[in-house]
Amino acid sequence: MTHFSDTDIAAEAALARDGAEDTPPPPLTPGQLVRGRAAKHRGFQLGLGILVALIMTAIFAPLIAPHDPFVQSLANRMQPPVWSEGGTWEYPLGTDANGRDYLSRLIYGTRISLAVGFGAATIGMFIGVTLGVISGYFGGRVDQGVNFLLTAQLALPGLLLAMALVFIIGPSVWVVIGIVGVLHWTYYLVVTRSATMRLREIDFVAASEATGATRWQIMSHEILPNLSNQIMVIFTFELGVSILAEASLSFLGVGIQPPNPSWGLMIAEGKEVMFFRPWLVVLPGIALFLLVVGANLVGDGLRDITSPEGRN
Amino acid sequence: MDAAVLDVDGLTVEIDTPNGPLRAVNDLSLSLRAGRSLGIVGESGSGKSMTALSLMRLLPGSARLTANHMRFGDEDLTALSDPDFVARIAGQRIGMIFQEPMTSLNPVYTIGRQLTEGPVRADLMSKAQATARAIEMLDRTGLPDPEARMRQYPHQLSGGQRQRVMIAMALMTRPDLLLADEPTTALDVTVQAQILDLLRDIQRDLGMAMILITHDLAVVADTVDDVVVMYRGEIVEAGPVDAVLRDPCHPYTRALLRAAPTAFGVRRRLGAIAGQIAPVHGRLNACVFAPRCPAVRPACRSARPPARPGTAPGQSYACVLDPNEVAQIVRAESTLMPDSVKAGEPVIEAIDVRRVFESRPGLMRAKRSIAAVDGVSLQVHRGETFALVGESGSGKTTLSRILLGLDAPTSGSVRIAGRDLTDLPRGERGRLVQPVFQDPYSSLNPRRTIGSIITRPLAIQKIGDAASRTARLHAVMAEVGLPEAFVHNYPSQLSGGQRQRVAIARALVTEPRILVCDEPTSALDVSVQAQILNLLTDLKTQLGLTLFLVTHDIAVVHQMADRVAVMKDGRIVEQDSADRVLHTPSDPYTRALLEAVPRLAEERVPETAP
Repeated sequence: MTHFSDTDIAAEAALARDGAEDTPPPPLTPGQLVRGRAAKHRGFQLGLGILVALIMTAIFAPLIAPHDPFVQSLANRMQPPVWSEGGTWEYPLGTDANGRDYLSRLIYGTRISLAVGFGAATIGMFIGVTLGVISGYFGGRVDQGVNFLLTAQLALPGLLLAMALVFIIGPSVWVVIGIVGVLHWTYYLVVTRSATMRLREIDFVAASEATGATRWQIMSHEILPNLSNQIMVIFTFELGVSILAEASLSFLGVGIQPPNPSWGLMIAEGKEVMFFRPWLVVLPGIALFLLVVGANLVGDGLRDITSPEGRN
Repeated sequence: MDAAVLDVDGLTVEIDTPNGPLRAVNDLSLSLRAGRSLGIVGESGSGKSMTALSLMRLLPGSARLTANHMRFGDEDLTALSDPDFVARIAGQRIGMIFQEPMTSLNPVYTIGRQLTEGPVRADLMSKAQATARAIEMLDRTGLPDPEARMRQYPHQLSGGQRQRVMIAMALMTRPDLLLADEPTTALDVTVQAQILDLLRDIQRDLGMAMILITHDLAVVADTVDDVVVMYRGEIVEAGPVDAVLRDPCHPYTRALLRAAPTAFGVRRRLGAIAGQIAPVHGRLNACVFAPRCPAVRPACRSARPPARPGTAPGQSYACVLDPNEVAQIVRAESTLMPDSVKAGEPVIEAIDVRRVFESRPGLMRAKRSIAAVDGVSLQVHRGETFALVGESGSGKTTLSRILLGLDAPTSGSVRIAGRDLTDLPRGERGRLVQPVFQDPYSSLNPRRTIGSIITRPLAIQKIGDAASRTARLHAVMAEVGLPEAFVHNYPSQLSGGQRQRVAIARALVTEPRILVCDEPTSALDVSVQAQILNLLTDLKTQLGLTLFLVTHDIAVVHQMADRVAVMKDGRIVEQDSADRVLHTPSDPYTRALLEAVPRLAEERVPETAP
């Protein structure tokens, strides 16, 4: 044992150093893991960039827009954008048939699209997640009832129903948000219902039940937090779908009413002269495309970034 | 028979993780001669499965493999391209059996098709030859009526029968090497014994080489010729199985043997190994076992100890100490387990409990009913450990769920502390009985912090205020041996053993009188199992708890239980003191169960050094 007793300072130092090498880095928290994966996910970053830029545009619209989007100037009707022949920097994206600045109308249109998108996706979330968790947790007759609702909803032609409802109630931004929201809950329901059925059988729910938790405590405290990732992903998809639904309704004339600058309405107004003044249709189309692609990229990214959690 | 079938030198496997590259296997060398069998033993994270997967080229995509050489017969495995490997080696000259027989077979094809498809497609034999050979192999694996089996689908077979089919499939091409990765871990103990016997007989009869990978030392004892013990990606000890199990030279092997409970002999406190396996990141210039070794020296932390010959011929181990020095330091625990307590008044009384599950196979068909628990009566007294033993499907888990109030009996009654379970408000029931579940990975909510998980029962039952709950949290965490720093961590940051401590802390936070533990250590490694079993024993004496232990593991029963009930097909076949049931079983099923337990023979357990 003599060769072990000479623990001089050098050996102590070596021991401390190698001991430190041997201690593994502390395991990362779920939040750190998500941030690490987000930092590597290009699609998510691009989508988030588009979404944040458009949200900023909507919030600061009065500061950014060069003109009042409602002021008509019949002398300057149908001005082409700056890159076409006859375009001026006064109206960078040209003017519409009433001589209103197209750039300003697009910028203000962001507000309506985002308001409808977020509003409708939120309403749909409350309906779909509530029904999904309840039917998944209770099962049996409750589940059958919710399933009947789901089948009925899926059997109805969505756009036709929305048109009919708006026609009956009367068009306004709030009515459009409400109706698009009430009609877009099925995806939330399907996903949260099956996830709840899986979670219900896991031991931590049984452990909570054994300590005397009520059903509502289990649903809100044990199950709901574990659905947050899926709900976030569906929210971003529904965001894009709702924005397109609003554009369709407005295009058909039963959504946002003139003179409000909705992208769908702008496409409808431009379609009369589509072959002579194509930018009137193309520009709002590009704006819609960017917003929906941005929302979907964020949704796809969120799914990739968060899905490894909760398993294991 | 002298040529080496497999000769591996310097095998290293690294896996990319968010924490940096993880060294799963480090500089591993092994060689296996034709007709010999080798056991690779290790706990989870030891790299044993990674070793097998790298031989079959089944490593995950994020893994990188390097080796000085890997020879298989006359082939150089490192030089072989993937298509060549698949065409010539995998499934033909190396057969593999996996752990999960339930998911290893494709449910939509017949057994016969799955057996014959591979060899026919590889042009090794004609359809007729393959069919004949499949029937021969099924017969060889002991499946009755093999011709009829060929036309059956996987769901028509039991787990043990499916594992026999898997073995037959691996043998179709008469491989030179059979890799079996935990082939019996998912099976009941009586089936496990049959499959192990079958593997050993087939390996000897066909003269092939076999590598058996397992976490259970007792499984290799009677099945293989040689054994290597792995820890954190390295081989710490190797040699003939009898020598390694009887005279282990490495501190880890010794410690592992005294941490495993035995089904027979004197009940000693288990020698738990402190701490847990930490993954190795990067290159480790130290002994892999140093952080947990009771005999650690400064030299162990500054250099990798070289392999040196052990006491028996062919035995080698990697440690700076001599075998007798190791034996001096790592001794068998001398503390005997406390004697059975004087039985107090009954705290659980089940009287003729039945639980019938009804299912309707089709809309117009008649209901079928299955009695999962069929007329069970039992009494558990205050302060004792009562073990309910049975194999899968015996109804033991259903019964434990009834005791926890998670399920209600169809008929019969259950009284807890003298009060009928149906009359107990759920909060009061929660303060009397608390559960500890098998899988600590699923019994903790992954979205809650440890502190929130442990204090949740207090919040549900509205006990105390924020300050008193925090005080109770710290007290109970100290009781179960959890560092306070874990309060703000998430379950995914903890190891299996730590999570099980969290589950126990949550169960104890409301100071219940009874813990219902459903297989509390089946998902844990041997060294961690010893920690948890010791902890439960200590808590029981300190807090005067009554333990209701549900398990399939006879060794755990022998270690823990004062009284035992053996359950089969929903009925209790035998119920008495643990000593009486384990030593002189009266029921034939109990006897079969005890005989099937793989055992390290008494003399193999390292005795206390003089």
